[in-house]
Amino acid sequence: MKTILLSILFLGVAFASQEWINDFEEGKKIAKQKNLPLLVMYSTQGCPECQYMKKKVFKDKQIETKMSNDFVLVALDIHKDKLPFDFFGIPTFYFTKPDGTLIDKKVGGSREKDFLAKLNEIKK
Amino acid sequence: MKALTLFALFCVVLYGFNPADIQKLKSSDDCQFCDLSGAKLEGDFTKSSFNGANLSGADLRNGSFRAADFSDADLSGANCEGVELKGANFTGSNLENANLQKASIWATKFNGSNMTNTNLSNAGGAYAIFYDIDLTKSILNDTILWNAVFEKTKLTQPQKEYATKEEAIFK
Repeated sequence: MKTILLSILFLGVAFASQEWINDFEEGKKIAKQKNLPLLVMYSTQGCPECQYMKKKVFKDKQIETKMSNDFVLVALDIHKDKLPFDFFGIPTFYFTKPDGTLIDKKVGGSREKDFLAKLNEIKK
Repeated sequence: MKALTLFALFCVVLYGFNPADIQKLKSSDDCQFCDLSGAKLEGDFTKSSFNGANLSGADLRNGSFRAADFSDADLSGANCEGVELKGANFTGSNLENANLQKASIWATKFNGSNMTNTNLSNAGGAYAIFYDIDLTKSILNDTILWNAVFEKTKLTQPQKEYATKEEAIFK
């Protein structure tokens, strides 16, 4: 019983923790395997809006769970990584089909409720 | 020539700004002490200098002013709704009655600015710096203030409670 409970707890933690991939092509492979949409975030160091999103908004329990369970997450640095989409500013969030086809984008930082609404709009 | 002079006069009378200063802004990133009062500014003004400029009543809504320098500028009554002002410097500026609703003021610096009746509703202001300012008459409805710094700044009790809830930093 104890083992089962620990396993459930472990799975809960594992699903809730966000795993970001730094390669769009790699992200697409995983998205196809899991049949999940991709959430691609463009950011860079020293971007205050990006820090707000990472340290505040993504820590929201509902958002954390939604992102981890319903999306394959790709984080790309605008100065270091190959960028698959046009650059509109940072942060920009691109939502794609599992094959990488762009569905929608969201530019800039936002409140938890707005970001969650966008996630729910993409993956109901 | 007469038509051009009349047009210039028309601009000055109707809008107040100096057309020569508009040209100066278009040709360089430097518009220090320019008269842009009532002007409608459109385009990318990233890192431009408006130091000491008169932007009273100006419409900045179709411009992007990331990391621009507005130190000692007069922006009283200016319309900056939804404008990109990330990392801009408003040291010593006059923002009385300015509209900064939904503006992007992430890490923007307000130092000794006049912010009487400045509307910051729904603005994104994480990491913004407020130093030596009286904010008691400004509007902070749903302004993002996470990690914003308030130092030597006057706030009403409800504003202080709101900023605390937003996880602002008080020095």
